[in-house]
Amino acid sequence: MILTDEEKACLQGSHGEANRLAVELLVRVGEAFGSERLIPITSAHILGHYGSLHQAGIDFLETLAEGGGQCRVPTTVDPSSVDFDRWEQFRVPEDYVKKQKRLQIAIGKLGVIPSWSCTPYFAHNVPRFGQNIAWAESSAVAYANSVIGARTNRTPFGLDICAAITGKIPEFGLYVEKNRRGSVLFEVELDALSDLDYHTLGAIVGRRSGSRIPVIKGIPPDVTNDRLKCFGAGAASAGSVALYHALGITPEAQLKDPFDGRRPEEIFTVSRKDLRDMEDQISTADPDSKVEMVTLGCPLLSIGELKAVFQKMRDRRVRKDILFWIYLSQETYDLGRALGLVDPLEKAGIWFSTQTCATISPVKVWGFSHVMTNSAKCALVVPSEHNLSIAYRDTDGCILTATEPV
Amino acid sequence: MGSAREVVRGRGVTPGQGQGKALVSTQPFMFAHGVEPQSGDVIDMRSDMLGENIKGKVLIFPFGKGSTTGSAWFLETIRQGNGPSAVINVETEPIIASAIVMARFLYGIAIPLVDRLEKDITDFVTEDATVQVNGDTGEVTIVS
Repeated sequence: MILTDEEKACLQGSHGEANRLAVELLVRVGEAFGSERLIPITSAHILGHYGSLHQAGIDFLETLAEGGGQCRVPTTVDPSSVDFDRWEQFRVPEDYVKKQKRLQIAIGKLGVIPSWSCTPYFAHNVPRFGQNIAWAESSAVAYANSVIGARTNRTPFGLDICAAITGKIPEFGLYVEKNRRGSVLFEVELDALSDLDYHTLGAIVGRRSGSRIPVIKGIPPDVTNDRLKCFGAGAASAGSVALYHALGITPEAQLKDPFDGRRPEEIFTVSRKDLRDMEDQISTADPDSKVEMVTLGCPLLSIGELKAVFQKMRDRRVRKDILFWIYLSQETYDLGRALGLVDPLEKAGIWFSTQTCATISPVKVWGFSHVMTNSAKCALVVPSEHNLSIAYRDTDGCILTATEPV
Repeated sequence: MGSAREVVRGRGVTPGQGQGKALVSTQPFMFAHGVEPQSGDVIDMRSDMLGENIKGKVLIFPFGKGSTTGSAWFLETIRQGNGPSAVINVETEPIIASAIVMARFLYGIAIPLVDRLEKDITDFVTEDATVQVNGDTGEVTIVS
């Protein structure tokens, strides 16, 4: 790799221990991927939840914080493994909370914006088209690359904070124009796609694409950002889709042919039956078994989605024998409260939780065996670890299961 | 047997020497929710290595997949002393490489990572073969 004088000096320790460590990690990884240089980034989004970071993650972030590390670009953080305000209500063991708080402290010292949200592109960290950024969180990576046209790889834990501290990332993968070409085509010939269909379509595209870049034809031009958020989350978790092109929608596909004149390697058509088959695959639950908890908000619920829940909850309340948990960012919660959406829903028995989400919580402590969600990502990520059976239904189905008429 | 040691060349991504029994998967492998750090057991229900243990093994798989938290899961597995003695990939990726680099920084544990071998390793390495990996030179030696 060709390094600048400043980068070389960093490697010698001239900018402190954290910078030395960070540049060395970037260079080592860059060399492994044939990068010729480090390129500047304008934003970072890092992981910070104890459930996945473990003690090793605490060690790494504390080492950087003690070594004087400071974010050089605006940097937000993904949800925590606990809700710092409501962990007692959610029966999270105190030892576990202490570990998450150590991460919180280290992240604070490093100068990270404590957003604790998987949708940084809606607030506090909105990149522009063509900017190089270094984001972790696969669903946010899919959104930033595809819907916005910013550029990032799926930045792993470790590399994410090193990029934030140095303001740099090795140039490889999706930072390179030619690697952003589409390679497989999905033809979606369906009308009236529902919210759930976008999650499911994402899962189909993810599973069939693997790590190839999909191009999707047939998503209607008036699709909402919320639906693209859900589509990308499904695609990123069922496969490893970091970038997709939706014809007529995503910016790179509007500027030029996403296949760059080549033929697609493979063409898939997606039918209504494909959607139903994928729904059945995502649902692992026996239809007769009793749901113990219903959860919405993966990715975190937006204000628009919260309004929709509010409307469907009119004259209904949560059943006594079931828990109904909704995850959203602190801002969305505060906004929802200001709009008068939150208090009536809490009175109706819904538990809101901010700064965290179901998929990265210590699910085992709750002892659930049967959970219902409207999110393909949530369903796909949770079961392998926690042996849960998952019922996958649309928001209406979730609300009808969790509630009864007043 | 001993004289017929086969040496295959690849690319050394991270330095160090490692030796152990081969544990081979022909599928993309994930550490996030895929390996239990406190035991080294493979817990990914979709993996062909489900139920195996990676501790001290030469872990062979085509490439990594899954969540970007995988590097933390892998790093924690190494921290708890349950990491592999070496890793061989067809083509490695940042999750695997970052974890190994961080492990050397934090815990002084060097795990050689080699990829891009000149031959398909699954053709000549059988499960339980003893394999030696040199991350400095990129050489992989089948000991027995």
